[in-house]
Amino acid sequence: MRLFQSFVAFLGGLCTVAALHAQSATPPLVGVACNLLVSEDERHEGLNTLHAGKYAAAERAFQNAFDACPSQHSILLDLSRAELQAKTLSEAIRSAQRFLELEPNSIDGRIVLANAFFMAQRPQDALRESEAVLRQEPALAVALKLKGNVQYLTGDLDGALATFVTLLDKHPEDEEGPYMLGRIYYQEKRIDHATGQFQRVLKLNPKSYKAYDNLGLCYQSLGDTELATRYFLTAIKLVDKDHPEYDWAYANLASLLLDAGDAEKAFGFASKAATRNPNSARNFYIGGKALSKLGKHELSANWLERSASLDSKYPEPLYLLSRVYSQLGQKEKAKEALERFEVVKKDAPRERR
Amino acid sequence: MNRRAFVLSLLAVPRGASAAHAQAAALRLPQFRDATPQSRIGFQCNGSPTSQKYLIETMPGGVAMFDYDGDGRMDLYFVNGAKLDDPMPPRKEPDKTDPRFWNRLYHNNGDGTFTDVTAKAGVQGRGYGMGVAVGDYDNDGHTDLYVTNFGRNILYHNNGDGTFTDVTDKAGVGGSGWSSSACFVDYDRDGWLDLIVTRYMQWDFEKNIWCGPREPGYRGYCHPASFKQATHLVFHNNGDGTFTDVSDASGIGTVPGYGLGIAFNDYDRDGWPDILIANDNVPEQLFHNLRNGKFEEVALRVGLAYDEDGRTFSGMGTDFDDYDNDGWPDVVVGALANEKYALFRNRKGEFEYVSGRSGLGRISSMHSGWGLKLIDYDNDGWKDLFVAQGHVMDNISLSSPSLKYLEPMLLLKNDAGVFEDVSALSGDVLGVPRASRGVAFGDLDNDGFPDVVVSCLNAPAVVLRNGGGNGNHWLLVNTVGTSSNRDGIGARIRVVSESGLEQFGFVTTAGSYQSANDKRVHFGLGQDKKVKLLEILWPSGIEQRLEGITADQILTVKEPPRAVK
Repeated sequence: MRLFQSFVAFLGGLCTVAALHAQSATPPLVGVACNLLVSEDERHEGLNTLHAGKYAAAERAFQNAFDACPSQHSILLDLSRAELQAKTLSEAIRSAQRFLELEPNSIDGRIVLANAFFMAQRPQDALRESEAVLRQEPALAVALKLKGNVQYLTGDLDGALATFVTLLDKHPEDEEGPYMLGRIYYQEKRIDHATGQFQRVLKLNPKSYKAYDNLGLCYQSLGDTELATRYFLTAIKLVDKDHPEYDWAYANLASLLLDAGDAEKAFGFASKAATRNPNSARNFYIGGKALSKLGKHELSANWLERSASLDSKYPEPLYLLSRVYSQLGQKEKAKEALERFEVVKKDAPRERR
Repeated sequence: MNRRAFVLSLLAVPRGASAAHAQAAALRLPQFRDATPQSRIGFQCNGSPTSQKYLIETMPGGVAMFDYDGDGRMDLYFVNGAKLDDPMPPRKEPDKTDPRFWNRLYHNNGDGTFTDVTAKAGVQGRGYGMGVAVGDYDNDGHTDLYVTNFGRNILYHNNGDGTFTDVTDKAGVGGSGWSSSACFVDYDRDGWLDLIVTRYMQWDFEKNIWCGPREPGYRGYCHPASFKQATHLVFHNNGDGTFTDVSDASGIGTVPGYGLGIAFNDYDRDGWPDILIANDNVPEQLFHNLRNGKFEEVALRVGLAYDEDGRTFSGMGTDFDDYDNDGWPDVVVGALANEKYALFRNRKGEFEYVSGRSGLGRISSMHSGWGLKLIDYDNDGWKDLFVAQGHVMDNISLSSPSLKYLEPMLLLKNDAGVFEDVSALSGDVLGVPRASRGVAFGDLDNDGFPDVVVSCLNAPAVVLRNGGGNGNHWLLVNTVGTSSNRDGIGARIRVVSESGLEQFGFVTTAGSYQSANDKRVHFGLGQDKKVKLLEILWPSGIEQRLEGITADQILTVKEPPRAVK
């Protein structure tokens, strides 16, 4: 699930995509007790607090809005979205399911549910729901994206490829089509094709920092270190102030600098990545690797331990930890790290070529 | 600071010589030339490609450089594929009857030409050939041949009269399945060469599947993970012309892999040979010799199983030699494009992944390396790296236009542990794109500058003559065992030349990819005209010490009796 977790963060959460699609209100049913005035007030409050990032308050407000007028079914979708933002994923799923019990043919409801399953790392359920939507509306962009992302994350790259080709075909103006095609080609090590797709993204959105970042990865793979560095730096410039949550470009540049033999500069960028996202195991791994190359083994061990603790299924830090502990003469810890590595490595996906 | 300066400052890491410096240095770099036309060698390794993309088609074949007739000149043996039907009918075997598919033995005439003596020698082979190992398994003074196949392998006994006899059944070394690289090594130091064979995978024509996109032209050769791993074979030499299969008892046969390359050396300097197996996309293996006929797989423990991130790579050709002259044998393993060739530096029995630091990673990331060896091609006292290249997929450019099926050779000069790409400065022949596979290294013309012979898939083999000419001196040491195996395989040699430069060599024919190299141990001596000290630790345990040896000669050293030191 490491890939899943990191990718959810990478995408910035698909729930916002679903939210864009579903904003409809349900008219109150005759005969059901409904205080529409109170409900509308609470709903308005919920939307405001949600927008302000006060997710718990938003949850309460939407719940009050629904209690005040249960015939306003669509409030359940607002509630589900707030619960998603609050990371109360079981509740988000339950709210979406309650809505679908009342509105079984709602495409919006099914998308919210699919998204909740996706965020809750239940890819098969998310896939089922998104496919159900696509049976009704085969070209619906948000459903195609959900399906494609699930396929991508579960390793069904052929399936993901077909889905995003459809997205690109039906919605050529949507940058997520070429972006995800680029990601898939990159995973398949079809670097030239990936490069073409990311450049396509830039034509649609010249400020796509993710495209710049990925172009950096592509040119690094193609052996053009200078161009790769330029792309990473462009991505960093774009995210520096406007996207404080985006850490990947810093980590990717750090990794490139490590390969180029400059551990000191690499550590600088890895530190920035870790500051931006202290929950990324990869950021701490790259930092720990840089420190190891700088001969700062004790510090390196701290960073690598942090990396391993952030993601128990990430083999890389454990392998390096065993080497670092060996360097420090801590044989028992080295042995233990190697044993942990072996366990994790068995379940890790095999390397592509 | 402007943007370009900033980018460059980020990348401003210490490098080797500048381009201008390299160009200037090129004036003194030995040049390789294509000596194939003059050699009269017309061999072509025919993989018999089909639309079925049978994986065996893209994997052969090996080359051996050895002196089969004892005239002091290195002869050549090439392994060939066999005719395949498209598709292969059930139970039909690959067909080698057509002479185009024969393995070939070429006699070195000593004047730059070779004569095809295959038919007379009786070494055409059978089945679909892969690799070759050489060694004098019966200590009769004549080097024998072991040919690996998809199917039963072959042991050819050298009769000493220019002919060979297939003694596979009598010797009991036929094996089965898909064998790849093999080596002769006296692992128990009883004076008789044993035989170790890597096997690639459990594959058969009936098991073949479609891999790659189902679009015209895109069908590809399968990733090894599509099939089960195979176990390696170990045959113990009984000293009477027969061998005993001890694969399981030795421990080596109990640890499967996708074995493609093999080499051996004494990684912990305990006096016992350890076995390295390069595996494709699973951890590399190092079998530590426990001195009782058994081995323990220790690659993970000593840092040799994975790259520095704990990731596997597509291990193919390999070499096990001391590139940094510290006396501890290092390991280099070829890999596929989008990976990096792996260089592991031996630090007193623990390995450190140094592909990045040595420059090898940066240089090799877009290449695919098969036959390779650490050779001191310019005789400066530092072992350089030669790699024959080419992607495994003949249609790789469809999915990855930046990658090519046919690739030029790669020659990296060793500058005190850092490698610099001098391919473009070392002869136009190196720049010709080819589907290179097996490579044998050694001195074809006995001029002290190592030559290279490359087998290319579905294209003519290439003989690369090293023109030398830089004035550096050299020494070739030809060991003759008495208590030890007659080849002296497994002997460790330490050389200290006039200037104090210390080098270490190891007698082996193994390494590269599916191939066998000149057994003689080569030392480049730079400007030193004398070797102050030459020490040999024979497999028998006997130590021998020679002093004041003149450079630029082939020194044959006979193992002394046990009492003499």
